[in-house]
Amino acid sequence: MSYPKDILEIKRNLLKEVSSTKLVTKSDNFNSLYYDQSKIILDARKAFDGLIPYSGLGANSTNDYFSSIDLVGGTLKTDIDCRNIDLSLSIGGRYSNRKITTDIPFFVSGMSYGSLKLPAKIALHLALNQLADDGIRVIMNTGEGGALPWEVHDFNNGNPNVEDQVSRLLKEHNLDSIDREQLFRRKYPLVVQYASGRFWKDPDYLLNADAIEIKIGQGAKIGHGGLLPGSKVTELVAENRGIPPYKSAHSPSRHLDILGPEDLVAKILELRELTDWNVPIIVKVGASRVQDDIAIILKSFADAAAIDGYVGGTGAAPWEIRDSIGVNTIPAIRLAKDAIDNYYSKRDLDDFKLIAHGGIWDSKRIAKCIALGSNGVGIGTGFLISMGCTLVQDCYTNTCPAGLTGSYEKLNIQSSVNRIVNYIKGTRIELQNIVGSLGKKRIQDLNKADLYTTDEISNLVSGLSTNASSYYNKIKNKDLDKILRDIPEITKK
Amino acid sequence: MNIKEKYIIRSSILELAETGLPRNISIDEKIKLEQKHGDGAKTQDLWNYITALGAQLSRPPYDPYREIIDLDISIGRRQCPNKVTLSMPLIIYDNDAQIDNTTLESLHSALNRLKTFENTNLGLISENRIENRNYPHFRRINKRTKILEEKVEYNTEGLVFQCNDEKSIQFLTDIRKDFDGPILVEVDNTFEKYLEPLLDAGADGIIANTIKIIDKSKNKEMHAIKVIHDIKSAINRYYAGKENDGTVLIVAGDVNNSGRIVRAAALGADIIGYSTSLLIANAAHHHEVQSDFNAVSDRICKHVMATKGELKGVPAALGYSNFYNISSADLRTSNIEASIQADIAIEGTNQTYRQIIEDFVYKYIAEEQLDLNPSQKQELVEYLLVNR
Amino acid sequence: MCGICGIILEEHTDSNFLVGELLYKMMESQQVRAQDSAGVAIYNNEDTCQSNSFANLAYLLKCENEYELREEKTNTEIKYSKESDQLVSRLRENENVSIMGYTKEMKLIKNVGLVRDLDKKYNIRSMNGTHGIGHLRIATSSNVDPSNAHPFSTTVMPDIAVVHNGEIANYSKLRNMLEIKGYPFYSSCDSEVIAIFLVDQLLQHGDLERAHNEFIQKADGPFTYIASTNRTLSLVRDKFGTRKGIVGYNPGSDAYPAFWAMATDLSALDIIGANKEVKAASPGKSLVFTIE
Repeated sequence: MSYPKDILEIKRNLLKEVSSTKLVTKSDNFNSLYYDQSKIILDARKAFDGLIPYSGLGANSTNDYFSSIDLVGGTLKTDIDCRNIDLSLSIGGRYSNRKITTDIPFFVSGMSYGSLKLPAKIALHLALNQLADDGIRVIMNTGEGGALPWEVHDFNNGNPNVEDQVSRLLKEHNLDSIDREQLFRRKYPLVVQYASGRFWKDPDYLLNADAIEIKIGQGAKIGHGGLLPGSKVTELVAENRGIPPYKSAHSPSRHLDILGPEDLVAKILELRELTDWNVPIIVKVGASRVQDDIAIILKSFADAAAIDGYVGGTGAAPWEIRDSIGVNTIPAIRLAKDAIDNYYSKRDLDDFKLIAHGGIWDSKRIAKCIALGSNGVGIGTGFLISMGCTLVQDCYTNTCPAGLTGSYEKLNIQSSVNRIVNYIKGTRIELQNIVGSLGKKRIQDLNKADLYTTDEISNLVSGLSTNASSYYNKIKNKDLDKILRDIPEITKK
Repeated sequence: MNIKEKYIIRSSILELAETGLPRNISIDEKIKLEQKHGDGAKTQDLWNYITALGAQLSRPPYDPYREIIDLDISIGRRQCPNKVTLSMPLIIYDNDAQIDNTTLESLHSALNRLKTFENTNLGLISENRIENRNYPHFRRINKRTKILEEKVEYNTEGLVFQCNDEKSIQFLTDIRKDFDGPILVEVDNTFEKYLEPLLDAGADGIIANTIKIIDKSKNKEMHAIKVIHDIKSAINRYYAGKENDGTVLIVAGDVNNSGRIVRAAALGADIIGYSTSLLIANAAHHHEVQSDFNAVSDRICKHVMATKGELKGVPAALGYSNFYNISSADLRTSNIEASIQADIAIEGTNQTYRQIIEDFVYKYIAEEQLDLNPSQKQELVEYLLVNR
Repeated sequence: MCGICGIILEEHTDSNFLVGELLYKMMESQQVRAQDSAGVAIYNNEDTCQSNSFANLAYLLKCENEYELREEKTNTEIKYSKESDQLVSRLRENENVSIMGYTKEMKLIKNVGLVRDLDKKYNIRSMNGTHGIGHLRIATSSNVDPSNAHPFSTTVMPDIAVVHNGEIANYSKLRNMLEIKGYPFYSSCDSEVIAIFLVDQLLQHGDLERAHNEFIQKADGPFTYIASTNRTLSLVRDKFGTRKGIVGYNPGSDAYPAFWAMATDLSALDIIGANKEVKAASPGKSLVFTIE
């Protein structure tokens, strides 16, 4: 069940009509002229319920440049022993007393409880714990829906409400067999999101976190607040967020107290005082006016900035906002890097870090982003796919066929944990191989010189080259006189 | 991300997740291979390569659910006494063909309903009309002759006619004298020539059907974005040195969903002519109970209201409380062709492709120490733009 | 987005009122808001050139990465118009020059850095007059350099200055509209459009209040601005009231006359004793103070 029956009927009829209509000529314009196939269903949905159509996952980007930008060398498999390649990353230290460190430069980006169902959240939690036992610490971001009890509380916290909530949570999904004590033992660094919805119940959310991320916006719905459709706001999700059940949760599109740079400074100072200047603070923005936004973040008291590109995923976003607004990840990193370089041209370098999100799925892409200028990357959809996501983009309904974002199907937690562990370990080995075969010791040593592009537009957006030589050749190969037909003689001084 | 790319991404990640061992080939390389051996060229619809810049820290977004986003627009220049105000930048456009009576009736019922129950005023352009309407109707006139001194009862809120010759301008001058509502003139590929006399003669709005203009023009590479951009520039040229007193640009054809409406508005369109064909086809025409006007008009209403919601959401996310403040400075493109055709900056930079080439040419001339006059420089720029 | 302040005598009793000193204090107290650049415009009609047609063209000259404020006296009759006159076009040929605007009774001073540095260089505390405005900038969109520092003035009409806190979201649309009309722009900052827009309105109908209302209708985004002319000072907030703007009154004493002050933060009003009748300007409205 994903669409009402008569909408499918309409779609089928429309497709039939479009393919049989005599209007179909050889004209290339036809597709754009009459119907964009993917949009037909949108119109039908609008006519059916009169509501703004939503969609899940990221925008359907036409060009994300990743396949036309490549590393100079660097292979996934290599004979060299690359086990000692340093992949670590630390965030913080610019203004905060503490740092969070991770052994791999990629981490689980914000996916909230609510957008993801409990089994998927537990699988991620257990997998990161298991990896921590193996000596690989991976950062996890809570997303904007508040934290689950075992993420921010100790096992013996003495709070009967927490115990009660835990047992109800586990019971809902028949997960009573999980060892509570194991569950409560969080071994990985946790980043909590401070978003415009302010969905959390107690101060422990901010106080027990290892880092705080102020979420201004996300790549899938830039300039639009977080969104959780009513069908996914079950009673327990509603309780965890402190909102009424079965009603859509529309977060405000902006923090009501952050309207400009000086407000951001005030907000960061407030959080700093709350946490005794201990935890690192990250500011996350959707990639649009990246240069201006990053310049503002640099001037505030933040330790790191995160940008979320156009392809960045989501649980639910209005379709047109998702597809109309944003800048792709590659140009966003380039713009952010420009702003950072500009800022530090006037003062000494410090521990400011840049994190990129959006459309980054495997080791090659991670390496490309880091070579282009980001320090770390966040991965969301990649973890979902390894758990079995089929990319049908129905995350806004409660009917996920893989049981990740909807509760109709059952997720196998143990196999999901194994797959996440494998995905992270495999990607780690691949990254080490790439860095090692490029002849570097640390992944942070990758730089723009390690990249090359294969087409003109990628050069322009990534700033890797100006294309000047190809233009030069075009003029050189031709007779200048022929180009300038009007005036036959070129006077050369 | 098409189906094939989705498959590649999924299979590649699953391979990693199942084994935990390094793969032979990365996602990007697979996609590249697919592009080489697969069907090859993607369909180039330039609309899809254009995105807008949202509001984040440097400017706060508005909230479409809790704050008022203004969509009202009035048609009629300063001298026009009976202006028409629409509640959203949409006008139902008859695509130059006569609307059949069934369709007209369902449209009529839907528009009346929108006005009565949703307080949404939407215009309709058509040759025929139905009485008892409470929405503005723009009557299309096909016969462009008028007998002087003869009094004609137009009995409509606005007029629409096609202009492609000198006669049309004379006709406009004639009817301007005894019609006091807005007069919209549909132009074709000769707009460069007739725009100035039309605006001098008192046209309140220009309608551009991009599909027809492209069909008639010699440049088959031309895309709707170029048509919009060119006509808007021509209107701006007309108003050089003075204030635009309310001339609206209505764009029809090839603009058939909210995303495109926003992009077209950013490029300079004020109102979008939503073709009935699209509206009816998508919302109602194929429904089993075609003869049931109620069901059909209900679908149209719902479709329009959902579109209205989207048209409020996008400007709010861009940081505007008024839809018409979106400008082409908010757009970025990931396609060189789109950048050339409509002067949109390429993402990751603040420059259009033309500006990038101009910069190169100036540098080139300085390096080679060539002595070129401005028109020769321009020639060189054009050469590089054409021979990409 | 920034810190702004303004100060104006209630009655024109003393044209040697210590505007500079008070502005400095107000700006100092708001310095925590913004540190990128600072600027003031101070009006003094004592030593004005008497003839109507003479004015100073204020501009910035860049020499060795440092900007210097320069003024060029006009000695021919200047017709203020949209088209740039000879003097402006001659100066614009030099790429190191960035034009600020024509001044008669106004002194326009701006630079990058803190207000303390501004005082050290130009001694703004010693400047007296009848009214003045001050600005501290934290850049949101355009670059940090003196030509993008506030206050903004124009070459179309002398003695108009604008300081602005917030952002004009539809800046490019408004600028495009005014450029089609033929107005010259000298910076890349969105705030310049306010000054030009007000001048355009004043040329059309001469009513300042109406000009402000027109701007509130046309402009989008969060903003509060203070605009000054040679006789008025006005505080304007956007229709959603998203940026702050408050006004306070100091009833005066034997030593100094009564005056009104306006600022972003209350602390700025407190520090100069203008904390009587404190009120916030209502959203979408303008408050105009006139000095006769």
